[in-house]
Amino acid sequence: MKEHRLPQELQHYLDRQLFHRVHPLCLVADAQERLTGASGDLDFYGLADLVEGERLDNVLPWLSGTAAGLVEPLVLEFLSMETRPGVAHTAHVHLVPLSAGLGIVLLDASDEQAQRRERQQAANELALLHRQREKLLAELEQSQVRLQESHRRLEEAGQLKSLFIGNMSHEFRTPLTSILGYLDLRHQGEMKPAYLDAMEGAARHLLSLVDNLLDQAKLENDELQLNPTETDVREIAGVIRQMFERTARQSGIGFTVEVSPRLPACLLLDGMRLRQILVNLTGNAFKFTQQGEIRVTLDWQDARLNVAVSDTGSGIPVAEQRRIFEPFRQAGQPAIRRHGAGLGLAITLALVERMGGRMQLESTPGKGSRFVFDIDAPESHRIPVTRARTTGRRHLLIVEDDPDIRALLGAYLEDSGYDLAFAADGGMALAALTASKPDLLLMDLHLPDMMGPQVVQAARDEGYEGPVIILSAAAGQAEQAQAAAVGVDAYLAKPIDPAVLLKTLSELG
Amino acid sequence: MQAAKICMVGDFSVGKTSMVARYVHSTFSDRYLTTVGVKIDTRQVELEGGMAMKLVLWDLAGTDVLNATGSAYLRGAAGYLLVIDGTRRDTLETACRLQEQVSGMLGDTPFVAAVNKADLKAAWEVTPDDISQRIAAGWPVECCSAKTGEGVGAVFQQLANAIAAR
Repeated sequence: MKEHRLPQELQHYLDRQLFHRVHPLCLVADAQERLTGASGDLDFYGLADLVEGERLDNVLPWLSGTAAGLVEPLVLEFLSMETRPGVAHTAHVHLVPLSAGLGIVLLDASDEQAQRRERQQAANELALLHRQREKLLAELEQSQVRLQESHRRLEEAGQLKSLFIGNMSHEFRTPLTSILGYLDLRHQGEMKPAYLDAMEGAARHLLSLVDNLLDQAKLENDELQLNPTETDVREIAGVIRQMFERTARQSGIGFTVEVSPRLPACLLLDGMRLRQILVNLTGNAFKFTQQGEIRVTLDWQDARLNVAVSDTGSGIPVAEQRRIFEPFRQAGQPAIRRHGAGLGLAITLALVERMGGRMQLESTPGKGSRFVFDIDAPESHRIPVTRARTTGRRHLLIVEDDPDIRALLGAYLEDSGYDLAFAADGGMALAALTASKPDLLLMDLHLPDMMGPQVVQAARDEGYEGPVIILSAAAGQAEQAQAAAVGVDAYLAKPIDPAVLLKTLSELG
Repeated sequence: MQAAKICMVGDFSVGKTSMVARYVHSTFSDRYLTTVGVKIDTRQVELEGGMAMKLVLWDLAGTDVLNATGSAYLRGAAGYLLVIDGTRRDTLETACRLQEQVSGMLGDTPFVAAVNKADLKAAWEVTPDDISQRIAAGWPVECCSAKTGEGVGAVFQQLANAIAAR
């Protein structure tokens, strides 16, 4: 079909349609971007005030930089601009280089932009939501892993707790069986020294179990406090040697305790806790050593006490070396019952760390283990303060409500050179203080009518100036602080070690 | 007065429009409204030494500059701001791609990387290590918040000074 030129009316109709839809505006500028001519809907774009010769980049700042040196048409789609304050337009902008300047064509794109924005907005929001979902899913997965881990730990804790209860029951029943069994033999008139030794061993084992459980509870509640005093570490080494000598002899294991000559006579540290650490590590070494030897060495340098306890026992696999310091765990399979509550090493490690030290373990399965630690131990030159001794036979008032313990204390002390008097409660104690004027006071912490420190306070108010020793089964920090506040000279925990009691009485004279 | 064309580039929803709104109009809106095409704004800035410069800010849509139509917007730019959303690590990766693309088109042109949304720092996925790596790669990096205004003016000022120094 032959192409016809459009009738003029149709051409005008099309022009009007185009004009109303895109509001075309053509601007012509010279090489300096000054306006030389304009055609189209100036008013629609807020440009009705343009005058010939005006610099266009003042009114259309986006021309700055963009149009310079242009050699072919450049189309800037959806360019949103504010031509007058509050008058904003979006147009497709065509920059057309001319032989003597620049042609600028603006075609309104507001409606098209609104439509595209709607679609783009939805797509972007969807992408953001998708990303958010991915992030939440990843977090959910991580939470799930953490929950599974917590669940596993809880299950393990439950198993450990059950194992612990079973173990404790076994640990308590065994020495109790021994004690009650040997006691039954007294009805048959049999009470050999060996039976008494066995009962003593069983009772001491029970005491160590109770002490460990209490220490662990204090550690978990962060209530365990150290009490550094002037300490003779050689004396502690001697106690350890004496304590394990018999076991070593019976089991045919070599046992030595070596003390370096450079160890000072007196160090400032918590002697009771050092002794506990050494007893735990040495006792542990004996538990797991069938033959060979066990060595304890103590050295001192730069205000630090260095200790090593080595054995030729079964050793500990690398995988278990960290876990043996966790409470209620022991070397070997968790289901196998071994010795004790599984608290000794956990408490030992905690004590070493509280004493400013670090524990190291070197162990080879089948060859043996070596526990090494060092703790703060500054040298002390302080001379212990001693009281002036009372001359002649001394009077001791024992205040204890339990008749068995009262009788036991009487038995411990009857041949010790003291004149003994007894009181069963605080009231009786105060009456006896006035009547018999004792030189020393040995008192239970918990009395039926009042607390020991109250009695001491009342006695002090009445003019009693002698030494006071408190005995207690509680042995807590709070009770000790309360006793110290009223001027108590010594605090001994039950059960009573007669040697310690006599030594304390002798020191307080 | 010297005029300088500055392009805002970065992934969608990183806060390019919000940074311009904060800088030019001192306003902020929490509502996300996507940009289609480019939006032009201007603000005058005083340079070190007392001279003034008119910044013509081209706020570009998302990653438009990565396609042929969008790359036309970059023509004649004197500098660009590379905007990153600190709470979305992927926007840092996009910024790296954009920087390569833009520097390929514009050559050695001043730019500043602005890590936006400093008001949400607790939720940032972009780490101090990420930022250190970019600085080590030669990027000038600044943290800012279009929401509170913290650091926004400084970012534009730093870029204007770098352009003027050319």
